[in-house]
Amino acid sequence: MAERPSSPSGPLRPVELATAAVLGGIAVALSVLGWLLPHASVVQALGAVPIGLLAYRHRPRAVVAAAVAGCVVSFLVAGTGPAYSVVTCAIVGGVVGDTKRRRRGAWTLAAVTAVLAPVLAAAADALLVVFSASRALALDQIRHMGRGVTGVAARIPALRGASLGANRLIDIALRDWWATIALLVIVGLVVGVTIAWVVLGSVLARLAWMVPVDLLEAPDDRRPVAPLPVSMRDVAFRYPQAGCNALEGIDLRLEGVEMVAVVGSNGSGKSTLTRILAGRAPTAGEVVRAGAAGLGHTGGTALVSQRPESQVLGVRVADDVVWGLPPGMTVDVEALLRSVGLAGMEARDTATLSGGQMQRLAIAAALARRPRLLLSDESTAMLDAEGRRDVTSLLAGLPATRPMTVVHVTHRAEEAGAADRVVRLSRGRMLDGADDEPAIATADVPARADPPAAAPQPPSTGGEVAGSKVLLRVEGVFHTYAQGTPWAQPALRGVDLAVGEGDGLLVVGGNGSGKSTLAWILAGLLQPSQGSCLLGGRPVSSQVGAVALAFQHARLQLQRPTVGADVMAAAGVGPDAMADALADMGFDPAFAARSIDQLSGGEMRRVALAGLLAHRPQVVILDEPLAGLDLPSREGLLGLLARLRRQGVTLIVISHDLEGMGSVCERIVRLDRGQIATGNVAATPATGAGVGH
Amino acid sequence: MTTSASTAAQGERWDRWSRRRRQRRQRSVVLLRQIPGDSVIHRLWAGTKLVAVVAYGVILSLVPSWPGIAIGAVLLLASSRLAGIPRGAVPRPPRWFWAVMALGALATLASGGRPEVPVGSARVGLGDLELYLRFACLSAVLLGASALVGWTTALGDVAPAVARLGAPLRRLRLPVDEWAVTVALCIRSLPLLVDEMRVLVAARRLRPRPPGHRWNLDTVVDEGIDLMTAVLAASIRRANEMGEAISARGGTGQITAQPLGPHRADALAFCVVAVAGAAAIGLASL
Repeated sequence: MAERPSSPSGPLRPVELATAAVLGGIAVALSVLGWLLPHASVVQALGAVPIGLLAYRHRPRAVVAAAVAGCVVSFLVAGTGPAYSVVTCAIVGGVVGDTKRRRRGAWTLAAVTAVLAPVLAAAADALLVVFSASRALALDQIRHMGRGVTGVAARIPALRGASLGANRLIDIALRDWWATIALLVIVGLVVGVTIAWVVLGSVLARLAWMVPVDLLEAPDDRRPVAPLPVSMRDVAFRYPQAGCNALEGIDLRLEGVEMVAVVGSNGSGKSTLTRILAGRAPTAGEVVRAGAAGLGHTGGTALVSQRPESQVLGVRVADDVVWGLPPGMTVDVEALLRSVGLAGMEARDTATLSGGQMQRLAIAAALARRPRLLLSDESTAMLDAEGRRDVTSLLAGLPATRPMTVVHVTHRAEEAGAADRVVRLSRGRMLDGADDEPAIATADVPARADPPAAAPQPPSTGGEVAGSKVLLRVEGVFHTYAQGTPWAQPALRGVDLAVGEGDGLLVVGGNGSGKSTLAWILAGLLQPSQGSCLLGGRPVSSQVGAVALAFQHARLQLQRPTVGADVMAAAGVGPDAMADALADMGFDPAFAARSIDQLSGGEMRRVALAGLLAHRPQVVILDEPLAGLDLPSREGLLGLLARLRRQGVTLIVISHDLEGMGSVCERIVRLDRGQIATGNVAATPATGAGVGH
Repeated sequence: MTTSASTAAQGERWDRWSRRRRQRRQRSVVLLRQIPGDSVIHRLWAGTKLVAVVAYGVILSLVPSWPGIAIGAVLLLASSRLAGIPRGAVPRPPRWFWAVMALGALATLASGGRPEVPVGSARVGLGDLELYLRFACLSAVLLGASALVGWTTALGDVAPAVARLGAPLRRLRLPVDEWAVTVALCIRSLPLLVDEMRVLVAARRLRPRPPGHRWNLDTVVDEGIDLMTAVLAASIRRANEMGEAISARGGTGQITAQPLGPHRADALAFCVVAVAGAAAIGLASL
């Protein structure tokens, strides 16, 4: 089975470590939540499910690592209580997941539980023997409270007998405390195991196809590290279980100090090409290298990938630069950070960096390894125009100062301008003539499904709306997170805004401008600390759902197993309206049966939108709808939004840049540090092709 | 225009009502965040603080007596003062918490116990209440101590401290470094996970209940499984990406740019905790 771990012994592999940390983190979050909200304590029992998933897919060694990490972290968060819960979850989840991994059934689980229960009960009793003073304190406390309650109850004649009985029961339970505790532990274990078994069973069925894979896993190469020169001859690659080749007939040679741009749309095989350059073996053809690719090793190959927050591994900036370097190796962190434009940020918390800063940090971490070959796999795809410019020019400047070859993979043709050489890919093959002319990645772009709306009005700025009836009104809104604590963080500082019926409003702003907070307040999901947000004269927070919000992370918005079921649940409609909604988003009816987890990023966003629109909301808000989408998906979504506007839907788009939104929104508001900035906003480019230099 | 005036008035009422509700609700709990500062307590090695808190916690659990609690509380307040912890950092429990505490106190008071004091014509025993208070204070001191570690320690220092504290376990061939890396990655990903859960719950709130929806065991289980699947699907993706990022760095190795260790101040802090612990034990057995 693909899900079984492939290496049965030895240290944890990267994907195992990451899975243990992330799933352990979920167990921590659930345990802490259960402790903070006692009425939600059942949530604690669910903490066994992520651990169960871990045990199902990986070795017990990973479960132990997750348990240790979860224990330490939850102790830091909220003391011994949650730490104890995490350990319990690890035991229950570990047993249940391991039983499932061995393809055993409920009887095996029952047998294991029967062995485990007395052991745990004995351990609990032993702990209470050691801490006998605390035990006495707790037991006395229970006795007193029970006595108090029954004493009051005994004054009521009807309850007299019952309270005497209760007293006797309490006395026996406390006298034979070891039996009581053992009984409680055993019952708790049985209940926990049952819940975990049921929930894990259904979760696994739905996630079965999501196999943990490390796409960068390369065969061992014991030669000395020397990634260049490398030449590929007629290379092809096919992923396991895939129907066709992702790459075919690739001939490429990298040798000198230069920057090579690889341009192609999603599915053109360009990421696969970087993986092969990083050391993965092709399924056909030949890759000849001077030595080992040495991914992540000194003098070898370094890789910067697409998602900024996923590749930052350190908690502090300086920690991230050295993360993973061999013990004992020292690098000049300060100089490295200076060279990527992050001077003086060593002690900054990485969680506070913007996307562009994170990518530059990732480049600094790559440079710490003094690579001969630097691969940038769509490292600019999730950034705004400014971040893209910064990162592209940083990459282009590297070969001039260091002896290295930079391969920059992108779906944006304009980024190839800075490269010495351009390789164009389409459907896994190289396009001819790629070497001399700057390529334009239009090969895979279908004709626009919808022409853009009539030429956009000159954008107006400011918070006031002209003409149409005001639908959504924001007045004097201030919002501060964690108000009254040392961590108070003002997000909005006096925002006034009016959105008219049928309006198209674009809210732009950089990191920390408060635009996401504004989106949450507009949708009624967050109550502002001060001021009001009214929809039709009533606070929108009292009518959650009337304003639809499409989150950037669309997967979290899709909560049913299939596309059709999700749209129906999201809108509260039947199958007919669901089919219409999907058709509106350009899906054919058969799409309703597709599983949510097999959709691409662009498809997820469109399905989420279908569900929101079928509910006929008065206003639709989209948070960063274009982030991470390639050109065809962007064009498709933009065409769709323009059509919605024409149909009279009130639309608010939250974005960090203006790009391509000119055809959708005629009014632009710029947020800057929690306030609406006055002054002119740059004109919007009307196409989705992006901002050039 | 009367309708709009009345809606405005209604809106205002709503607003006032919701503001009151909000003020109660928005005392949000902030977890796992350092209070920036450069005090003696901040500069102590993370391992010292962890060991001190765990050690004193064990001592208090062995001898849960008033002297130990009092010494712990004094230590806690003194170090909070040294670290410059503002009062706003202390999470304010919601009203129901105090209500439950008061109910427990009342029930305990009803059970009596020596000494008894006359109140009017009746006699009220305070003995059992003492036990109740002791229990509550003990819990508060233990919680406060672990909170203080969080408030004064940079999160990036925790994993290296775990690696160093666990060093003796390496002799037992336990993979301590692997655990430290997992701790580091867990701390790194926790805020991202919490954010994802927030979005998930918000997306759930945006959805209407289907007509005729009723909460029963089936619907609760169904919905719980949906949410759990969404969380796990998002985190498997994140874990895969994180795994690739680790591969891209050539596997694991260093986890911090400035490995810290105990200094003289740490020895002093350790002595203080040791003396306090000895005093707690000694005074309890008097």
